[in-house]
Amino acid sequence: MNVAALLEDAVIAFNVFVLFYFLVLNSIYLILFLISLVEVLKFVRKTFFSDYRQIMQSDMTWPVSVLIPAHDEERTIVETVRSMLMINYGEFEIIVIDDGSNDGTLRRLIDAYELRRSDRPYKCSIATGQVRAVYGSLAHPNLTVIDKEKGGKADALNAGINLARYPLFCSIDGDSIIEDNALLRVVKPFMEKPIETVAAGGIVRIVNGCDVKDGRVTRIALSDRALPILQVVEYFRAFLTGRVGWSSLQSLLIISGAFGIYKKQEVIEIGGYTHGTDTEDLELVVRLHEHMRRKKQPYRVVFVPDPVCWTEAPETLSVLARQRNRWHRGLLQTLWQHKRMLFNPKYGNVGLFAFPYFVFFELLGPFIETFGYLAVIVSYLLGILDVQFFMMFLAVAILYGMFLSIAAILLEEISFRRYPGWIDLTKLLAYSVIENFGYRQILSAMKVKAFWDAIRRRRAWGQMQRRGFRPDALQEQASR
Amino acid sequence: MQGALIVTVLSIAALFLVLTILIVVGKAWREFRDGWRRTRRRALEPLVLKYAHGSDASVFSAMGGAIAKRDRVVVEMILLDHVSRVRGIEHERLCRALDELGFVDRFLANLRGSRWFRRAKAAENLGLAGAKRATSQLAAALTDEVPEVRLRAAKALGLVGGRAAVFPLVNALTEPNRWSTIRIADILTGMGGEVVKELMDAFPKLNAHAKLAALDILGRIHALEAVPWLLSRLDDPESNVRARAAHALGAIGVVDAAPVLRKALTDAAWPVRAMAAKALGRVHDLEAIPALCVALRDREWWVRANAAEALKLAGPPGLEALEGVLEDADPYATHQACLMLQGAGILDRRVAELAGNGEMRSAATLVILRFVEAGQVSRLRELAATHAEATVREALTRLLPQETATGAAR
Repeated sequence: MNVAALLEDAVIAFNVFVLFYFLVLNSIYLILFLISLVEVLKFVRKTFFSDYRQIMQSDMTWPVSVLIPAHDEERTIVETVRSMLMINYGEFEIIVIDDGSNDGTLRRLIDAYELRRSDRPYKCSIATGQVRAVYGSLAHPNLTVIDKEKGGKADALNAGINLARYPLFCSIDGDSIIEDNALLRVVKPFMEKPIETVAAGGIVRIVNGCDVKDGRVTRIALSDRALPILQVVEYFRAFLTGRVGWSSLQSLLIISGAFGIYKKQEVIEIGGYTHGTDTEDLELVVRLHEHMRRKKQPYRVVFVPDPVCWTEAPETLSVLARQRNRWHRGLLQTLWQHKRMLFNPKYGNVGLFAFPYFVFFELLGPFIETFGYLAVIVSYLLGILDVQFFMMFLAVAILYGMFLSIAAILLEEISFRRYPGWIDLTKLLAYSVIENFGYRQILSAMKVKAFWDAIRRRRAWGQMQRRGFRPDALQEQASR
Repeated sequence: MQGALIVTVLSIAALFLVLTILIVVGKAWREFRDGWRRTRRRALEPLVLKYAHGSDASVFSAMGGAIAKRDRVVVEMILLDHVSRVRGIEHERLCRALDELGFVDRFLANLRGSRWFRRAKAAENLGLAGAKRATSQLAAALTDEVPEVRLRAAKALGLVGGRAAVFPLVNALTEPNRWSTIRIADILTGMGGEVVKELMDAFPKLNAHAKLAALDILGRIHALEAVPWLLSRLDDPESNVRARAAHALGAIGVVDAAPVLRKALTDAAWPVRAMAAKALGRVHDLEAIPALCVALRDREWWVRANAAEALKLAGPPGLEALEGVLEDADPYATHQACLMLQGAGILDRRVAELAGNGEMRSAATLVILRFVEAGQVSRLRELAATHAEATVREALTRLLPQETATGAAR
């Protein structure tokens, strides 16, 4: 047998493997979609009967400490805090942690909210970087700002946990806006099952294209740019099918750092957020699972599809690449740190299903996908590309993917319907097709590069270029 | 192989197409239905309101005869919308209309239905319709297997009101689900004074968490008639009951309760001491100031914090007592006193007094030095840098120790 024949056999074998891989992957997505469909319908019916106004007024609703880590967020921080101060919730405090900003983040907060230094006790339950000062607000007694040396987002959150006085804490990104009732909605699992629930997360939606006024999203619409819309479709799939499905299987491995709520005591017990990964949110949830399973205590980590956190999505490929690079590096680091959970029955569904899924499909999937596309091209160049095979490949890789994106849009349409216009719906439907021709492949390539960077131990947060929520911020940006 | 391929591709494509059509048709249908309902509402709403504000004996005569089947859902929506917003005679007339048009009978039938969300909706609507004749069915629905139905039924009973509704609601406080307990407690609170006797009577038979909820309700509705009964709960063998009873007494704010609350400041269980301190702050009992100063040295943080807060709430005599505590040997007591004095603006005032002369300045210096000794210097440093008067800044700077870096475990 000559080399060419061997190569041909290898390429054919790889093609068959890739085909099978896509079939399994998309079938898992399909199962998750079906589970999510049932769960979302159930959730929508239940939500119809929720009296959030009364829950808000009740003295018995759990108080919450809202933690907002901020680093160089001068463009958005005042708006973010303002939106938080206006949320509908009974008893809550807001703790902004200025993590060694180089810009005017702290100054803008001091000016906007009449901050003054305070001697509020800082109990160091979790070791953190040096805290320079704690500020209280004259105008808003429930607002506190920590000024600390730069230690990263995880360190900032840990400092916030140390100062938090309530049993639940909610982490929110400094560049995000949460809806009025979001906190009431996300805290509900803790009220329903106070002993078992250790963490809950809400849905993250993309604010690009929406109108924001006084820290509120006043008009919801899709962006005029392609990249944010592609991410809207991607987020639908990730949140409405992925996370809802995993949550109902009691195997949710990630609660978005942009909007998650946790039981403080449990997080302190595991030492808070860790500095060793690029995605501290993912790592914390995985560690919580591990901790609770070891304690052999019934628990649940819940995704609630209704409370919305609006966040800015990257508008250029280079920023998107940096963001995804960090996410994928973080995924690799977290899965590696907790590798003992893989196929380990001690960790129940998490060890047997969720963890392997994340390793073989989320982590390694981009490799197989990228090399799968390359193999098809090589096969074509070698003249060994079978038309039937190629069609089958297209069916399972592209058509199936399109079907799943449309299914996620259907979930949105039968449940929350945040994009009311026909034009937005048409855009979403069109982009659920378009994303399969280029966007998905680019994302896979970005993740392959992230894997390579992680192996080479290259770490960078990836600076996100913020436009800010104020209309003048947009003009300012345009005039540069 | 080729056949299988074609079937696969076509199946996925067909599914894709079906979903797309579902989305588009679903949206179009919803928009059409809502538009039609809005149109019919514009036509029917004035007739319903004419009946509500008028004197017609029957809703049928106001609406010009029987209502077309297609309009029933719109009329039902209008009635339910308005019935929750109006009171008095209009409310009664709208409730009567709901009954007369057969909606109450339909809600009762739905309450026995097999689908939980229909039962929940029916319970909710019966409450809005103020259907007293549905009280027993709603009470039975409190044992429904689905929590949402139980909660709706509880809410409906709260809206229907009357003694017949209170008893099942008080019993429903024993719900194992905290969410349900909270909601039912809120409903009972909303019913006001009519629940007091039932709560006190049922108390011995309630489980532990229902007992605590019952005590909270009595506090939240400021049930003055329950004060003697609550005072006797301060002798309960269960510490949580004693603590909540103290909390309820504070919420009611009766000064007569102060002597017993002062005694509770020495209870063996810290939650009772903490709640007693909090309650004493709320009843503004000046005689409790010495006992609260002692409580500032309690080994439990919550007791110290609540005692300090209570002293702050006591006004000038309490704040004066807090300044006295600054000289205490117990660092925890002085720390709480510092926090409260700072929060009450006393520290800023004392700093401003550094610009004065004689006794006032000496007294201010003494207080500031106590803060410095207690290590509570952040605000002082800020004032030393930013105070409007140069003399104050200079005087304050002299009193402050040299600044050193703040450690991680401040």
